[in-house]
Amino acid sequence: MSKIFSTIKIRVLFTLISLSLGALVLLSAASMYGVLNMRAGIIRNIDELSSDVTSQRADALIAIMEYELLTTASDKATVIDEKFAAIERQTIKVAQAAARIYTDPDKYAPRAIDYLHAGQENTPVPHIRTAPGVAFGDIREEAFLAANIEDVLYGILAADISVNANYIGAESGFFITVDKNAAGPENTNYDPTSRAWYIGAKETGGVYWSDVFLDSSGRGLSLSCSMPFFDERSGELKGVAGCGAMLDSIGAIIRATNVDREGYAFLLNDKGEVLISPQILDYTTDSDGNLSPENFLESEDAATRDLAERMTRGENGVMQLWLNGEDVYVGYAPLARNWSVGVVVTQDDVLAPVNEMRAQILALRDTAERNMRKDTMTLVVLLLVCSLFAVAAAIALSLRFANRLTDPIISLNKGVQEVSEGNLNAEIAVKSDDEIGQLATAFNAMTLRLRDYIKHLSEVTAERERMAAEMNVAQKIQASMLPSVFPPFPGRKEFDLYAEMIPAKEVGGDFYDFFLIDENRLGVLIADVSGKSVPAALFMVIAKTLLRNHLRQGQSPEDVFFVVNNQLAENNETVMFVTSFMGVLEIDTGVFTYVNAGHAPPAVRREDRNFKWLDIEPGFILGGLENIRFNAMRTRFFPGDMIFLYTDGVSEANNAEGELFGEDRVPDALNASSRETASTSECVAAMRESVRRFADGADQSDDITMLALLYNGVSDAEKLTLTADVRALNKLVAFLDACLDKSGFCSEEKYAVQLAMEEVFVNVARYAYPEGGGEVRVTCACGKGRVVITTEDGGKPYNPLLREDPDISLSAEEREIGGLGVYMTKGIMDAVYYDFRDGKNVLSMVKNVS
Amino acid sequence: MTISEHTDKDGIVLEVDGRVDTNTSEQLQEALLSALQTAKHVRLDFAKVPYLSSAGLRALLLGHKQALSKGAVMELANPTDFVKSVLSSVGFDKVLHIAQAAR
Repeated sequence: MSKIFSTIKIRVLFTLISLSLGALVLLSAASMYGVLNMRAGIIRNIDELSSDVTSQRADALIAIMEYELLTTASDKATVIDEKFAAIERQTIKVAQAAARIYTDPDKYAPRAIDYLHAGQENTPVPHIRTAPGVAFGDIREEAFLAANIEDVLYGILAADISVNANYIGAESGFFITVDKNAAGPENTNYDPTSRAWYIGAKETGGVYWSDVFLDSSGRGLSLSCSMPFFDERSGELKGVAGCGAMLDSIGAIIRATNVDREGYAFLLNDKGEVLISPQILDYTTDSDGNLSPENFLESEDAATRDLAERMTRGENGVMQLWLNGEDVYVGYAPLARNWSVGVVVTQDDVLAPVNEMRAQILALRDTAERNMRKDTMTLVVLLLVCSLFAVAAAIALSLRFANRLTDPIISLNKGVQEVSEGNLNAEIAVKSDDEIGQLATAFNAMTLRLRDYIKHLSEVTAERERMAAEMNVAQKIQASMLPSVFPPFPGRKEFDLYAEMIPAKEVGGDFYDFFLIDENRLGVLIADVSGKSVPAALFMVIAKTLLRNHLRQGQSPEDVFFVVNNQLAENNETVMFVTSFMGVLEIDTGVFTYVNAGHAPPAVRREDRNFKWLDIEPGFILGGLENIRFNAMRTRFFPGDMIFLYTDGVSEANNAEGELFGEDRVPDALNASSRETASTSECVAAMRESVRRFADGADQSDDITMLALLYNGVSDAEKLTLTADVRALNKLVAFLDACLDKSGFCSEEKYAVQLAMEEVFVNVARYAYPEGGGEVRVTCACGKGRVVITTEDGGKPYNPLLREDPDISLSAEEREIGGLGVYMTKGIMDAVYYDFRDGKNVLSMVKNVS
Repeated sequence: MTISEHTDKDGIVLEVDGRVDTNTSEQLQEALLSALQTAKHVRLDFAKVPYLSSAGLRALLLGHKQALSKGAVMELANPTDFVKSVLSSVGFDKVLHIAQAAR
């Protein structure tokens, strides 16, 4: 797959999918948020509604209930009060009847009533009971009189259903009663005067209500109302009349009280005791058989005590409190005698409808919530499903869109790649009108133009390449004409030579050459042809060939230049010329003969180890004019000396600022960057590096050619060191004879050499060391047919060669004695050289076999 | 180098045997000068002198000059080729009396 596909397409795809997915996620999130929010809102609203409605309803209910409680309590109180009033009226009626009987006994006949017989249940009969210790007989008369009350008793009992029994108790200790429930003669003895109802009425002197007590016949809770009666004539207390009522009749009223469902009433007496309440099923009694009902005034609960106090104070009202472990409302209303009726209703009871409603609302809410949750889930699932579809659709659409977008780019890319791989015939088939289509069209046009251009270019290039190839060949030929194997003469230790030419871009005209003219002569030359390119190269080839050929033939350098100059100048219509320096080194002596034709002076390193200019005559260029004479010069190299030849490519190298390297820098650069013992290649390299550093990247404008020649001297010479004393002569002669063995000299030649040696030695002994005692070092380098003898001495400088030659044509008389030695030496030897070097006189003599 | 002296019909004959160089020329010189003290004709036989240096030449010239001043004759006889070449190289062949033996 192409790179375009893997990037743009994926990127477009990614972007589109991201956008759609992002929108989807946002939408889903918003929907979910909305739905959840709505759900929460609805629930909240329901809750608030329920709370409002129930609290309002509760308030209303409570108000209604309070009213109801008050009303109920008051109603009950009225009813009960009426009951009590009725009983009181009956009692008064009995008491008044008894008083009438006792006040006016004469109006009443004694009535014999059954003694002790109480009658059957529900068919009560009046009967008399006596107190223990009272004999019936003693009270019979009074009892039978009092029995006249019987009718009243009957009547009341019959008329008032709430009255259970009525009776009178006589002070004398008997008791007449009609009792609805009395059964049999069980209680034979009964002392009325000891009873509470009797004592209470007697003490009060009026109506007396007894406490509630358990009926003596065991029929339940009873209550009695009693009143004393008197003999109104004497005012004497005769007894107490009473009515007993079962509290059941009142209890029924109390119990019948039904406020709401769970409501009830209770009766509280003036002592705070709860007499009647639905909770009292069985009455507890204390050890004396008295009732011990619960007393609210003694309750541990303050609210209960408060309620009891309000009730016993005869107030009415409604109070909310905890009672019997329930939250209740109590409505209360007073009765006579500071009794009170309480109506109790539990709050739950009161609020039951509210709670019911709330429960209903809550149930509704729960249902709604459940439904909504279900709906939400459905919505989520729906959203998920929709999202999945949407995602699938988004991916599919994105893919299609990306394809539509990138397909042209891919085709474009393919085409571009094809073109970039070199197929210029490739055409991009993108037909769309958009920017990509325009790009494709433009690219096609460009390819077409490129095709034409390349066609044209290849033609031109082919031509240029052909020429360049030819130039290259020319350059190679030119380079191959220069000896380039170093060391060039591995067998020759007498010298070391290194040269190089760094050509400029174009083929140029620099060249160097070196070769052994014979075993003992090394020719070196360096030259620079004017101009550049092909003509220069051709001229260089001619010049080099001529120079080499002529020098090889053994001609002297100046003659070579003379001849070559004439040959080059002949028919030189282009006026090309060559500057050149040529030298011939005589290897065994170090003598260097050189000639210059307009070339830059070489630098020479000698005994002081510093490069200096070689003394030269400028000379005229080669090829400029015919018949120019050149003067050869001569110097002598000693072991360690070096000559450095170069062309103006070195001295005229320029840097980026156009500044020239300059000739003055050449010896400086050589001295600065080469060691004293540096080899030729090191010197050349140092120079090359110096120029390179100077140019600092600037283009090389001209060939740079350098040639360095180091002279090492002859290595296989015989050496002898002697005292500079003539007496050592024989030793010297012997040494010389031995040396000359291989020379191939005839004896006369040997004698001649001996003679020269002797003359030189004697000269040294006499003139160099006038005081005597010095040393002479003799070196004899002897090859076949040639000997080079060198003497070195540390005496005072003396050049014997400067001595004037004697006139050998004079007669004996005119002749001076002596002065012939040097003259003879010069005559014998082919060459004699004197140098003062390193503080020594150095004299070398060369003799070739004749 | 050795020098043997004997007389012949003309005078003294000095027969020199060996190299005449810086070291031996003095001996030659003395022998020559002493011979010229007595003889009017001194003949130097150089047949056995293979080598002659400038010191020898000096002795010969001294002897020659001495002979001239005394009216005597110093004759150099039988010089070897090398000696001849030395003599001619400095023009002594034209100054000295050189007698070539007819062997």
